Parts: sequence; structure tokens; C-alpha cells
Amino acid sequence: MKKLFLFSTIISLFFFVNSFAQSDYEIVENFKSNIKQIEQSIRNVVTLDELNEVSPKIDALRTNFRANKELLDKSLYPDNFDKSIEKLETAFSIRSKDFIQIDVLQTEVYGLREQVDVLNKRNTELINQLAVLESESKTNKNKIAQLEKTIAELKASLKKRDELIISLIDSLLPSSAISGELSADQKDQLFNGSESNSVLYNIKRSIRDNLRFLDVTTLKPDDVAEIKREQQEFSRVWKSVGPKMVDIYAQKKGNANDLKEIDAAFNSWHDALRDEVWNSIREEFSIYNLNLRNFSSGNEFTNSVTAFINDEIKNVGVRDETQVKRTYTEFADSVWFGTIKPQWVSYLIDNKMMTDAQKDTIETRLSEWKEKVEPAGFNWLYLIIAALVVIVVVLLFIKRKPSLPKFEPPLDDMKETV
Amino acid sequence: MNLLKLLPLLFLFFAAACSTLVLQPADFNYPVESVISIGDDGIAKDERYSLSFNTKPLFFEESGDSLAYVGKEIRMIRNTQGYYFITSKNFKNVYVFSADESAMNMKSKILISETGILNPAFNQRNPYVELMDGSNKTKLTAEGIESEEQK
Repeated sequence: MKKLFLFSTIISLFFFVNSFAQSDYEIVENFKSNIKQIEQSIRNVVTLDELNEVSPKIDALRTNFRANKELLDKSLYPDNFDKSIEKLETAFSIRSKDFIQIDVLQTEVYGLREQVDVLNKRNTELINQLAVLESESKTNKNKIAQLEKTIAELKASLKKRDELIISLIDSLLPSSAISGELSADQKDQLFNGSESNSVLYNIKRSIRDNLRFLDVTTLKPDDVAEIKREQQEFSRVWKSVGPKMVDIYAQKKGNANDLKEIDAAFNSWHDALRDEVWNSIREEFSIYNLNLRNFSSGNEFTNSVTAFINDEIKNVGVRDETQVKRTYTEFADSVWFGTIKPQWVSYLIDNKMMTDAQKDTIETRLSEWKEKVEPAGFNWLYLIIAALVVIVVVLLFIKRKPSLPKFEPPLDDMKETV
Repeated sequence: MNLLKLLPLLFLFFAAACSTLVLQPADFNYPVESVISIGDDGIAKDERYSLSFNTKPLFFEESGDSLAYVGKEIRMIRNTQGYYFITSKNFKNVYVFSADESAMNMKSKILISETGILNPAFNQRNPYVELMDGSNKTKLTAEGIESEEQK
């Protein structure tokens, strides 16, 4: 690049020295050729230092051709001498800003990468610790608090690492470049940035860790909603850069297998989160030994619940009445109305995993089950309440019964007095 | 009698009707010459000024060979008055043309060198057109050579 500058400078000087023997046409053509060379140089430089070497060349062009300004003003229509130089300076300035921005982004990326590495290590430790605690907590209840603390730490750590990776992807290119078509330089920048910062590895690892986290934990609706938000943000950022990276990797490496793996991993993560929701719901029933058929969709869930209720309805009158009632109470009061409906149903409906009609179907079946278990006959409770009410009313009536009227003088006596 | 009084008015009316509208001054000069490569069909097209014309008769006039235009380029400039000055490498003459209806009419043919102009180039030097050939400079008008300068 430096040799090119030197060569073009010598050529320019040669033309300048000989400009006295030049025709006007040659002067104009020489000026145009210099402009083109400088424009090309501005486009081709790969470092800020190289770009800075172009600046004196623009100054030299302005100085060398100022004597021919009048001729150039007339000949460069629709541009003129000043406008041509101004265009070069604008191109220089834009390129310069690009390099400064790239420099800032590279520093940022370096910092982010270091943090991601630290968090990767920490997350691996936490996941391993979590797996051990998960098995220990089944036999040792004292470990549950430690387990919950580790889960919280891991969740926070995973979230932070995911945010860092998103920032890392964002930092690979200026946002202005992401929305438009990439130049050859920007493609190189994206490829080199991705390779040197192991971006693809970190994305895959992040998704894998998230999958393991889902695997070793049981989630609450708030956790699921939070993970879903992170997942969507991660996916959004990946979609903005991913397709461009597919093209670039196809060109540079001849294949885009890593990228296909990432797309597949995103799908697995998405599916795993959905499955985890159903697993967590099934877990709520399992706590009370209510074993439902497997389900992984709203329809399957509704079928599984209604099948269970149907079986239980058939058991009424066959099995022990106490046991039947206990099953109903646990299923309806403890699980459905106690946990599933307040915690999960609105999440399922909001996320289109279940419909209102399916919820209504389950609740209708629950009413039918209740009717079988506790038939609406003569209810002694109502009778007792009614009796109590009558007693209270009678007592109040007696208490308020007016005492005998006090003596009042006869009206005739009063008249006499008056 | 009345008719005689109206005569000056009628004269003025006819005089106005017969006069040509003239816009002047006008300046037709090209700031810099056009260097035009000739197409295979002999047509020279000047993109900048959207001008095209057939050069075959010009080359025939210069060399007696109607195919002499092949692979050549011409240099052309227009002076302030609107005349086109045209020459080419190894031409002996500079040809001066005026524009006409879908045609260019030769106004003059200026002999520059019996051996041919080796490296011609036009410069606009109002009121002249300067022809350069290496270090030789010749000032031209539509009528002919104004002066010559050798360095």
C-alpha cells in the first residue's frame, strides 16, 4: 500500500512538473486520474495509519492543481475543483470514522471476550455443582437451601453471559452495516471478529449451557418467562447477523456447518423450554402422586387431565370413599386451583400453549367430578346455619322487647291543671 | 390623403414583422477539447455535448482513404463563435466546421504541417483556439492561422 502511495505521488509530481507542456485536456484528465487514485486508496486502506497517509496526498492535489482551478471549474461539470476535493475529504472523513468505530468496537469486543471466558468457566462449575446438589437434595433436605442458592447463582450467571455474547455479536459490526448490504471490508471484519473471538463457539456453548440448565432444574412460570425473554433477544440478535454470517462463512470456509448447528441449537433450546414448561406442570401433579399421562401440548395436557378425571369418576362408588375424596381434594384444590391455575394457566394461554376452551373443558370436568364425589343433596350445614340465624334473630327480638310503660297522668287531670 | 398619413405606420409594422430575432452576445466555446474515439461505423460521438457526426468524409478528405478512420480518435474543440475545430494525429490540416441542419459544413481547412501533426491538442485561448503539437503552439481562428510560437 505504501509503495502504491509513493508511486502515485511520483506520478503526480511528474505530471505537475510537466503541466506546463500539457494541453488543457491532459491537465483535466490528470486531475481526474489523481482523484480516482486517491478515492481508490481511501477505499483500499486497511488501517487508520494507512488512511492517514492519504491526507497529505489530498493536500498536494489541491496545491498542485490550484493554478488550473478556472479550467477545472469549467471542465469538471457537474462538479468543480473545490467540490471534487471536498468529495475526497468527505470520503476520507467517513472512512476515518469507520476506523475509529472499528477500533472502539475491537477494544469493546476484547473486554467482552475476557468476561465471557470467565463466565463460561464459572457456569461449568455451577452446572456441575448443581447436578451433584440435585441428587444430594433428594436424600439430604439440608442441601435444598444450598441447591436453591446455586440455581439462583447459575441463572444470574447464565443471563449475564448471554447478555455479554449478545453485546459481542452486536460489536462485530457497526449497527449501520448490519441493516444494509455488507462491503468486502465489512465481510472480512465480521469474519475475522467472529473467528478471533470464538463467537460461534460461545453462542453454541451458551445455548448448550442453557439446555443443561433446563435439564437439571424445575422452573416456575416467572423463570420460564424470563428465560423466554432472553431466548427471544438472543434469537433476534442472531437473526440480524446470522444470515450474513452464513454467506460469509460459505465464501471463506466453503461451508456453513457451524451456523447450521447454531440454528438447530436455537430450535432445540426453544423446544426444550416448551417441554420444560410441561415437565414443570407434570411435576406439580407428581408431588401429590397424581400420575398423569405424558403431555407436551395444550391438547395433550387437556386430554391427559380429562382422562384422569374420567377414570376417577368411574372409581366413585368402587374405591374407598375417603380415598376418592382425598384424590379429588388434592387434584382440584391443591394442584389445579392451588398451583396450576394461578401460576401456569395464564402463562400457557398468553403463550398460545393452551386455549381458553381447553381450560374450560378441564374445569367443566372438574365440576362433574365434584358433583360425583360430593353430590348436591340435603346439606346439613345449611340447616345448622339457618337454625343459628333463627336463634340469633329470636334473641335480638327478646332483647329489644319494650319494658312496661311508665305511669302517665290521665289527660283530664292535665286539663284541669291548665 | 388619409392613406398617406397611415403609410409610416404601415412601414413600421412591416419592418417589425420581417426582422429576425437575434440573441447576442453568445459564447459557444468548449472549455476543454473533446478527444473522441471513432466507432466502427465511422461515427464520432461526443458524450459530454451529446454530439455525433460521420467522420468518413473527413478522413477521405485528409488521406484519400475512406477507411482511414478505423481505430483513430479525433480532437475537437468549439470556439467562442461556434465553429468546430477538428484534427487528428498525423493530419496535416485542422478543419473548421459550422453547424447546419443535421450536418456540419466545412468553413475552412487550415494547413498546419506538410509532414503531419504528431501530437495534436487544442486549448481554448479566447479569442483563439490554440493548437499544440509538442512544444509548438499555433493560434487559430475560423479563418486560419493567427500566429505561431515555437519553444
